[in-house]
Amino acid sequence: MTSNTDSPAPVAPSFPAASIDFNAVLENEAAGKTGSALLDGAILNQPAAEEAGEAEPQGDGYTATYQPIGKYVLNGPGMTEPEIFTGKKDAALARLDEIRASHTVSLSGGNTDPA
Amino acid sequence: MGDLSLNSTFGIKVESDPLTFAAPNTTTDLITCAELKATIQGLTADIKEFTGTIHRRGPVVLGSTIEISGKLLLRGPGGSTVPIADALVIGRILRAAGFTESIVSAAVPVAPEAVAAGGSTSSVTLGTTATGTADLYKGKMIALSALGAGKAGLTMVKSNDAAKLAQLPEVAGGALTTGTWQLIKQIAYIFSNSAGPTLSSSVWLGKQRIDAGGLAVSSFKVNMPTSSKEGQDVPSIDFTLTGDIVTWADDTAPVPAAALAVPPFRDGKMWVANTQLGGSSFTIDFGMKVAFPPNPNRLTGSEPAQMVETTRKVDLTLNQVPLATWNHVTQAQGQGYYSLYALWGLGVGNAFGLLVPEMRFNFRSPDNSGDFVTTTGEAYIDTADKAISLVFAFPSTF
Repeated sequence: MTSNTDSPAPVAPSFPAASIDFNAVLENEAAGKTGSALLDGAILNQPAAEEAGEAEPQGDGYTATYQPIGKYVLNGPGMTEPEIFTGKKDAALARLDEIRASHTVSLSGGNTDPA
Repeated sequence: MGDLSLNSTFGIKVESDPLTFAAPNTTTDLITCAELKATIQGLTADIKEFTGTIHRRGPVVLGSTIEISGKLLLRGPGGSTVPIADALVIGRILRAAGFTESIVSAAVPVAPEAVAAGGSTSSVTLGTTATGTADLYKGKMIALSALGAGKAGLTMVKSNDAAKLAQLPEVAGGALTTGTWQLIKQIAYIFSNSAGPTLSSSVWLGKQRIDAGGLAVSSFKVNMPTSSKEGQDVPSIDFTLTGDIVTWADDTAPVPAAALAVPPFRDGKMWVANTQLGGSSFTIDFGMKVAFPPNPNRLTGSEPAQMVETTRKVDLTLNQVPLATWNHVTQAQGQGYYSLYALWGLGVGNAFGLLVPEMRFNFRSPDNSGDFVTTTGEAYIDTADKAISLVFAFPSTF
């Protein structure tokens, strides 16, 4: 009989159509990680340009630079130190957007009406 | 001197951006391919202008789309070491088709360990080292000593629960409660919910090279003919990539490295609905469709090709057997889910497992047009995540 305090058994997530190190996934699982955290450090291969550690300039001084394996260094104006992000490129760029938003000061005096 | 058709080669590379061509290396990114074709479709608009005569102008030419198609024979890389990520060139097409490339570079546990209690003839409780995340092992190949030595002992996991109970696609002679288990070294290509990356390709046809980019997989079919006295064929994958031409140049075709022998589908295993059956072939068709989102900001007026749909279907041609052995009629009536498992190979590093953990049968039809009565029919794969698994196996022995 189940109760409200029972934790559901962890279920393997859907993995991306990328190369993953399943031995690393098993190590993550043994360390108690679940869900997408099973992929921490386990994504082995990003497409070619990212393998080169190439910066992804965002045009305003913010960059997301791929660091094997599966990590990005996020940096930009106003950040006291770079942030290490583990995950896919889209998620890294989304996190960079959040950082940028937190460091951007509105110059419009709060008036957002384009008219 | 004519341009020789046999001087044709194919290279592919995964793109980081579908708008940026990633030139395939003329050594490491080549793959031998049969029936290689590059088909260019000109895109036209019939403008139907009046010309004051009965003679119309021809249509406006708007651009082109390229389709690269071929047949990849299923062969492994050989050796006992599992290749690193992205090294298997065939794996790039599998990833583009939506498969995860899941690499087990070291067997787990390092030495086979005892299975736990609780198994049956078609399930086994994995030992102490196994983890308890449900379906983490789904689609992977394991070795069970109780099934036998070498290839006989290799099977695949249909599902596993938090109690480490793994369901298998075959039936053992006795309950699997003794002996050892091990997750063998392998590269498992396991279908996922995710869209795959796009590809860049160079196709050499004679002394010309066509570079194409933003390629998405628009058709994908696994062919599994039994290599028998009656049917002389080998396992393969038919594929079509659809995208845009980047460059067309004069260039002599490079020569891909010599590849291993292609393992025939025989002297292995085929289990359908946990029943060992014979038959002449089965195929898995992914029913893929690609489309190009319109965008006037792009050179072609469209965004790069994008996979927009798959419908996955298995076709099986099987020998008729007594309904007492396999009652496909009641299985079609009940619309339950059943597995398909195949194992074949020539040796370590050139061996394969193919698993569909859950498929649903349509009604099958008998066919007495040949020497033997067969049944033909389809089965449907309703889910996507971990629903099809193709393993390149590196067991300790095969």
